[in-house]
Amino acid sequence: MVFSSIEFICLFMPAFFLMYYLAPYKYKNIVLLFGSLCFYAVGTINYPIHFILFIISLVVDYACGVFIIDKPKYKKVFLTCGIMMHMLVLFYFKYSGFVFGELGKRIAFLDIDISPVLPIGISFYTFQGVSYIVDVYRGTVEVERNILNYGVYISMFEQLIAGPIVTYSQVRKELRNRRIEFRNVMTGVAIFIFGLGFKVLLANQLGGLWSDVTTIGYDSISTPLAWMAIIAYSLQLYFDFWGYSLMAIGIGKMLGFNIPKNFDFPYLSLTMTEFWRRWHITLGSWFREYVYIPLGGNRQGKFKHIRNLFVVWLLTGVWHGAGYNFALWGIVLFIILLVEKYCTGKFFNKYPVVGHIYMILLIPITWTVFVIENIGQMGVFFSRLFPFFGQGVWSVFRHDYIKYWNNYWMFILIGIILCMRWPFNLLKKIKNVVIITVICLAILAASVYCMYMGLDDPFLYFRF
Amino acid sequence: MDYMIKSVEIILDYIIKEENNIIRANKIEINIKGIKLYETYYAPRSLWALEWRIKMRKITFFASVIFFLIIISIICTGSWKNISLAKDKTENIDVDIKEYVQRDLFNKLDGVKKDGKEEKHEYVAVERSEKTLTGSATQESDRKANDNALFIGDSRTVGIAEYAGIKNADFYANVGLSVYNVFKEKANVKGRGRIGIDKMLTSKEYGKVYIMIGINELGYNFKKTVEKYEAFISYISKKQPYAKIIIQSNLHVTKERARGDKIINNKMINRYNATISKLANDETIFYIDANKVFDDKEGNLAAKLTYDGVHILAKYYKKWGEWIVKETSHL
Repeated sequence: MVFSSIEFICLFMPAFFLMYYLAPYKYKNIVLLFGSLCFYAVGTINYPIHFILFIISLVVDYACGVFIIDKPKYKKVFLTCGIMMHMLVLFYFKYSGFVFGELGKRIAFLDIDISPVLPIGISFYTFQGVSYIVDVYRGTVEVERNILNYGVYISMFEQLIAGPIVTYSQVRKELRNRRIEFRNVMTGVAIFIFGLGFKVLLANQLGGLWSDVTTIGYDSISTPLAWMAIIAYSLQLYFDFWGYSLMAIGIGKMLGFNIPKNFDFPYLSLTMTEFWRRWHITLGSWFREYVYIPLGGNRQGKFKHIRNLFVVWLLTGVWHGAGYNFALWGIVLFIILLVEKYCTGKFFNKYPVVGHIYMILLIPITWTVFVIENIGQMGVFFSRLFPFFGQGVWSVFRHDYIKYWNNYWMFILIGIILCMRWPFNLLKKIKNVVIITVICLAILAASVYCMYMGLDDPFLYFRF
Repeated sequence: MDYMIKSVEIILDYIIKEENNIIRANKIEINIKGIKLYETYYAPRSLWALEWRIKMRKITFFASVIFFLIIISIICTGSWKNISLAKDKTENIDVDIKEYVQRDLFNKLDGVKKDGKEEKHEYVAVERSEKTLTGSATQESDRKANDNALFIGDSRTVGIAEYAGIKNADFYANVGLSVYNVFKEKANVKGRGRIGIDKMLTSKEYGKVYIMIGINELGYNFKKTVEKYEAFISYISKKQPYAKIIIQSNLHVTKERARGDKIINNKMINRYNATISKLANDETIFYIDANKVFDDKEGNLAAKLTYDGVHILAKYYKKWGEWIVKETSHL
């Protein structure tokens, strides 16, 4: 079930929260687990094997955690087993199709046609499981002996599908003892509505421009339209993912949990390094905690530092999808970050104007590598962005950018404005509850109307 | 002494936090080891303000829930309209094509009852001799060949308008245009702004009128769609009696796009194309089939020509435009 769908908002949420709020505190975890499993079951209804896989993965994690503590002599064995199981499963579902497809093109006997359907949320819950096992092994968290609580931690429906990668330590306290307060619930509802508005009213509409441009074909667009399209895509990706994270945080608050923030105005960053501390924060910290630091971080000499950065960014790129363009994207980010660390230093931080211009150019360009899967088509699109190699600026349809500007200018401008902090600071200054309520209801009504009219796009990150 | 101060601090902290939650309390006490150190009362007026805040919050909450339910019910009642329209959409896909091919399709046009055995082109000829244009009536044979062309269609015609590079032609095209909405909605026409189809057809005399619509109607009742299509053709031939009407077949979709889709697939498109091709009489109404340009060996749209499976990439519209001009240049 997608968050931005009528059945979730009008059926699942009222039913679930009614039961949740009515249940006494000691049964709230059971209700939450049951609701989350129903949520996931509906999502995987066409592939029941994915649901079973999820349960197995959950139980194996829990068992590994318990055995690491109970049998310390074999703790390395259990650690390795747990991580290997997760990585093998992830590899099979996500990458085997691509890998064997590509190998099969070159080596005849490896031409096996595997294309397994990707279970939803696998990238996220796999990483959560690995983080738990490693934390227990290191001793940074106390092992969870209650399988119910562990089940709730992994399967909490707001962060199961595409939510922030929550580590166990962040929810441990609330799992055992949380208070549901009216003010928090209302704040959660407001945050949820804002997230929904970002996704349905902004991201889904902006997505139309990029898909129009792809339907036309990158050969036939003019340069202004190419820039407009990639900027619209950047905004779409941001509001889509940020909206979804806000919805997760909002629901978390309604349940009594504190889900960590996932985005912190990334498009205001001055350098790429800063950008990746503000975009998909939980992913960045996962890679830092469980890949970068175990490899040595930046404390083992320059060569190892560069190697570690390379590994982390290649893996980050490939985590987003199986394809050459994702690996390329990871490597491009690595190069940019390396240059920033060793060459430009604090230059962009010292001169914010230059920093902003630098990022405003770099962000759409890196998203181009991310979004266009075919390398040849990527080249064509770049030749439209930078028309210095013969084809010229304009396309056959001379005024295409005017047509699309007329259709999308409002969304692009609103998107750019909402990238900045001041609208939200303004919003925070409004103390009057009635005004906030009216704004929230207006956004909710508009979003529900849009969803009803059938403008529901599957969440962009569902490939993961 | 330090221990007592520390305890007081801890308790004060706790109380200040709890103050925000204990709105109803009107008395705060601090006791340490049974000794009353601090006592205060909320003044009645500020207590009333606090109580009013709680009430407002609760009222807002329930009002918003009720408002939300009202919105949902409005949406649901609105959807009853769509449910009645859905009766038009129910469709039995296995209807035999032959049933439509053999029937005389012009029986029910314009409410004029015709003898079932009358030939199609005779009907049109009768129509024509009765027609007089405003202004001087001229003999048909004396008419100079009219170079003006008009293209009417849906999103694929929009593509032709933007990317095919056809000069000397007007385009009346809109994404989603269908025989069900062509009379109700207006389209943006270059140089003319937003106008309806009636103004489009009466403002200028055209030599050729090209029509390509059909894919947006695939979900509707087939019989009704065909009837509306015939009505539309007859409407055009009434408004533009000297123009040649060229019916273009609807382009196929790719095999991938059609997979699993009971409505948008090439079997439905082929049935529709076969039916409307029977309207052609090779004198005033013609039928051209662009699918032979873009199809692959299996009769689906070639996958490499498109991204979304329905619209060809813009760079191929030029080829389409050239093919159309070539096919109809002799008309």
